Amino acid sequence: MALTEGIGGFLSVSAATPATFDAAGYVALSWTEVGEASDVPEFGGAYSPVTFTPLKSGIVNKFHGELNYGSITIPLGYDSNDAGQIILLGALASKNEISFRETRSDKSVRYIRGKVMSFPRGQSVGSVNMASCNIEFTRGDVEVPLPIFAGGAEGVLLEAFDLSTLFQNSAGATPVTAAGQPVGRMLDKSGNGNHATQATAARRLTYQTGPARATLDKVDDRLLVTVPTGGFTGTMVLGTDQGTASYGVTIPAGSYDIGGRGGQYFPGNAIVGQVIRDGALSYEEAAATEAYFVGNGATASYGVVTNFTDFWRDWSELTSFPLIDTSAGTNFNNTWWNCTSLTSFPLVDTSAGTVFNNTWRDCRSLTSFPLVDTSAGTNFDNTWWNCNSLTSFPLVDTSAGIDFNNTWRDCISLTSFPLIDTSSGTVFNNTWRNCRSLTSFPLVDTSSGIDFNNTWRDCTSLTSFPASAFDNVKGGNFISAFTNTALTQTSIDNILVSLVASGIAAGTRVFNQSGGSAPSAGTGQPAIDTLRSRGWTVTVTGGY
Amino acid sequence: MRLTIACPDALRDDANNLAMVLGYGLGDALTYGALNWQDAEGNLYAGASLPVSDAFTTTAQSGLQRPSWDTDSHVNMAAANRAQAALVFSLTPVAAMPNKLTACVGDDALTTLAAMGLTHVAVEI
Repeated sequence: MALTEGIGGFLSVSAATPATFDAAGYVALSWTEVGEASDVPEFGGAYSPVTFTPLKSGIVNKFHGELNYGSITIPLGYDSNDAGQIILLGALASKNEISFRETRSDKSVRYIRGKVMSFPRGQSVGSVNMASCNIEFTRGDVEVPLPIFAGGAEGVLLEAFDLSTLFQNSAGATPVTAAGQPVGRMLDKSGNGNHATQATAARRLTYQTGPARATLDKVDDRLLVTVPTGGFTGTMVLGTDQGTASYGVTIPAGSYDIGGRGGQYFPGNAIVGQVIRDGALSYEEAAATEAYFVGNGATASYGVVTNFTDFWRDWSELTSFPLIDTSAGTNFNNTWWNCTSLTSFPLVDTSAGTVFNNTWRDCRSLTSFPLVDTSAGTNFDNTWWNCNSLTSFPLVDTSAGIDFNNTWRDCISLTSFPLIDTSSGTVFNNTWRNCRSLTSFPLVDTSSGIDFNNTWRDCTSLTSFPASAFDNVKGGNFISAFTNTALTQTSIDNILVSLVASGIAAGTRVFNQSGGSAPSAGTGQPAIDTLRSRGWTVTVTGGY
Repeated sequence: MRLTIACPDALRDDANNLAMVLGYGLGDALTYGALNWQDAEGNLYAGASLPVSDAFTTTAQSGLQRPSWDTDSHVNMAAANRAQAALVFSLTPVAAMPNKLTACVGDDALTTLAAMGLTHVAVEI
């Protein structure tokens, strides 16, 4: 670490109390800068010495006595309209404990709690109107250091809020000096020289202020980092304008997109800071790094985001995903599509979600899935399509689901399936197609269904299908619904009898079965005759 | 202002030459890449978006000169001129056309592309 200039530092305050008195708790607060401070004096806790001098030795033994977190008096140019000074005066009047954040010019921060004990104001000839604020600290300070790349650890540290590291062109010839300018080069502050660059002008990010960040058009904007031989296996901390989180990652050597896959898929609209370290960060290190980015302008939580469309799509480098706050999310369209390296998934809050199109599609390494709350979901189009390592599935609430197009298609390792509520479902096109490890199927409610094309097609191990499955269906087609299955005679009889019993109106309709057993002469074939008399075209195993 | 451009497949090579003339170097030959935007008729386009100066639109529609950095004649000036001839510039979103390089002004690139009648399609990236 080098020495750091004082100029550029400042103090912020928050009247709120953090949920926890650590970095994670403090960063979640909303902060207001105290304007016109001319100095932030040294502060920190100090013990009073306790001494004891034995008669025999005459040596003064020393011990730690009482701990005092200390106090400071901050000199200020008085501004009655300054929002930070107003909070200080409010704390003086209320006698409440409030939160303080010291930000240094190198962007490292320190948090502490305290009480405002005085705020005298004065005026004199030859000076602006001055004030001073005396604060008695009531808790220990929490230091949030810069991310550490000690010992030659490989990785990248990018800070869009540090103007000295930003350049308009990829060669680094023209510095970024103002909002609206392109960012074609962002220096790596990890010391590894893994600078992020973009040679194509139209693909460069744009520097903006308030807070300082590099914005993305989500059409093609991204910087490229050349990951060295051996790649990075460790932790990524990403601070954006919409949320900040830490991920497990494995990134192969070669070119890596900073700003989203192909410039299109990114969890936010701007980068504030990004760390990728080869070698996992500890929980504390990751939390401190998140706090560091949040302290410099990143949004702490994804908790107010409603539309998560394409946020982590195609992020195949993610090996673990954090338990972020998605409780406000209503649209999870394509959110984790093709996160092919995730083996598990946290129990995120999706209770407000209505759209689950492609949400976990092609997450091919997931071996388990949590009981997420999908009770408000209406659209499950392709939701878990090709999650082909899942062997079981939880009893999620799909009671509001209308569209089940391809929902569990190609989940080839599922050996069982729960009795989910599909009572509102109208479209079951390809829903369980190619779930080829299923041997039986529960009596799900298909009463609202109008489209059963290919629904159980290619379930090549499916032998057992319940009776009365379609008794309450009012319409629809069954083109290839049971093509290439292994149904027993009882099962195909069950299906045909149930279709006869259903209220499906007469008309031109199709039912297909192949594989497995032929319908029985006593039960299945008469049912086929009835269906054909109603206008159906029925094709079954055995050719009846 | 922000300019968002839809480039049909047939014009990609020409448009990348124009991008080099109007841009800064060889890197701009990659301006129009993946065809991940589609109109209602199914025509595919490459999208690009960038902030530009007011003068840029005048320059883009004026006579083209080989850029000073291009001492080895990397730029195909005939192709760049073809792209310029196909350029449609608008201060408001207009429909993308499969035989035009359509450039529209708009604050948000994705909103502008949608207003140009284009929807995103997934391609290998």
